[in-house]
Amino acid sequence: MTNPTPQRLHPLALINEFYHLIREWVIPLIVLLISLTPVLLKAHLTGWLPVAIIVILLVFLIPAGLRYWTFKFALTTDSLVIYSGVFNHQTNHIPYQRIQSVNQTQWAFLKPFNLITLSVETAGHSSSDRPEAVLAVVNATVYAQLMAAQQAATLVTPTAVPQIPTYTINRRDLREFALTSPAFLSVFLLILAGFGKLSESARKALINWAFSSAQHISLLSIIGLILATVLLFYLGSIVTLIMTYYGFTLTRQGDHLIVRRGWFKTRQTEIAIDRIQAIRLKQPLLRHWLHLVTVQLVVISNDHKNDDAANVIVMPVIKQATVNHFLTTFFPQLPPLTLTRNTDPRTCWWNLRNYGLVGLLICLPFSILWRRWGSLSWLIWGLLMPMGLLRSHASSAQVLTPRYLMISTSRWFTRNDYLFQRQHVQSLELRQSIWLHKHAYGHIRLHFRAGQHGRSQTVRYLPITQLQRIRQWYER
Amino acid sequence: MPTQSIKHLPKTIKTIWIWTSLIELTLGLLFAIGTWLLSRWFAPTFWHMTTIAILILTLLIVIIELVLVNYRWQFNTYLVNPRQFELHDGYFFRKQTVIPIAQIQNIKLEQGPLLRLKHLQAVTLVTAASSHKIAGIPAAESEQFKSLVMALAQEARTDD
Repeated sequence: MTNPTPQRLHPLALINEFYHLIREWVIPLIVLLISLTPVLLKAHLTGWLPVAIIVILLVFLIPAGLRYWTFKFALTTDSLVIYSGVFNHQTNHIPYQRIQSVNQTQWAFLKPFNLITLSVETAGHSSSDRPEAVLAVVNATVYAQLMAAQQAATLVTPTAVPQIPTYTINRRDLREFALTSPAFLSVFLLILAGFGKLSESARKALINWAFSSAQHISLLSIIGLILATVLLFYLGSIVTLIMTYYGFTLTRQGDHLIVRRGWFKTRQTEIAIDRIQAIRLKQPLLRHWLHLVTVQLVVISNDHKNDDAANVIVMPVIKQATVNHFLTTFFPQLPPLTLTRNTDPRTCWWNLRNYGLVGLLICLPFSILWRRWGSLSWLIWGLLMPMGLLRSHASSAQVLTPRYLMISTSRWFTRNDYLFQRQHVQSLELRQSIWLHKHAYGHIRLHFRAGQHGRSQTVRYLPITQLQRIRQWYER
Repeated sequence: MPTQSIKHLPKTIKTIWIWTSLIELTLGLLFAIGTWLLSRWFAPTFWHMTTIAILILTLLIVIIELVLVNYRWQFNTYLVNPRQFELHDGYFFRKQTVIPIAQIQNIKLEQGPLLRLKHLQAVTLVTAASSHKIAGIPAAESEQFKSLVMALAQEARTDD
């Protein structure tokens, strides 16, 4: 391949640049417009307001155009080269060997033009915390070209695998996934956060208004109103989830996993197998009851803006009984695993005691200080106890093979089972208080990488013999 | 090769801890004096209360620290063997940390003025997900530590 001349992005990228510029400046612009309005009103120039807006937008077109004009890329024999900068010319050489993953995004409105966004991630820790390079709007063929160039440079001939493991979500699974998602519960968090942001007097007024109107409206209609709101959010979350996971496909290609999903915004993400730090089986309460599991991968990623980047869903929802089958088709070396249930009465008692005490700390002051309505806070206590029970049932840590360890715990009614390879556990802590020492129980904490940072997972109240076994497994 | 028995931190670290507490006490007292002076200027009740709160807090923290110096030293031990570091901490609340040398990304040696007086160095072991500090060991030993980690890290890497 001869070194080609640098090429520009597709002309539609101009709109993208323009959009980003406007987004960067939107707040100062609004402030400017609002502060100008009285002046314009005074001078009877309100008719000029649209003109002003158009002029400002036109002014923004110039830097956007310059940015578009100066941004070029080239696929040379050994690296992807990016030229950018209006005044300060920058050239970024990304050798193909260093590229860890190439991700694609496609908006529905760009589908007819066959245009995509490519973002290239490298192993290097770049200071910007962003993907090494983003080709905002390019023809979809650039992806194939990049892949071909990369293969030619790294001399990896695609081995003819007899059958490439693939999974595509079907309608039923997608529906099940959307229906069982607890995402809609975030509405309560939203309301609480909004309430917290109000000023003291506004809060009082709101409470008074709520109480006074509550006297007029029957209890039934209040409950109905609450239920209707929750239902609305539930329906909203179903629609969003179906849109984002529409056509979910997982493919394994050599040492990469490729995840493709989304209807309005189609994304294709590549995950290098050696970046996987742990496999996480996640079960929110409803899915736990229905014996459904979501499989996520905990991976190293440079993308810190995107929280999902550290936890990639590779299986939206699957029956608990078929998890092993799924995992071994994509990761043949994995041992079979079972989701255990801890029935140790001691673990159960300590968990219930802790949750109960925390509950008391919350509820007692409420019911003492606020006689009439404070007793409602016991509802919290009623929620905390089953939470403690679920955690005690989930708590476990088991050595599966000399290479693999599984630890399970639960938080906020969500059970999490993590499968670790020994080399991915960065350090291990055993904790114990002198009182637990008497009973020969203790806690275990594992440190591992997730996204850009370290994360830890703790399992509490396990017999010390079990913990010692894990320590031996780790020290071996 | 280092010894493979459980080791305490050098006894001189106790002096350093005592000195650190005394410095904290001085700083707390200075801070309290500052707030008391402010009280002569404006908002006397508020500043008086602040002075008292600072005094009580400083005294409490310093006394607890001084009382616990021996406890801290007694139950703060470490162990190095060719494969891993092990840190032990606490008696009432025990913590044992295992850090395989293969996982150590970098090792940081620090020496403040107090540690320098006693020829000690604080060592921080950094893995990809966590960092663990050893409060102070003799400077010679920490250098030895460093080269050990480097050598073992190299070895572990070629092992893979």
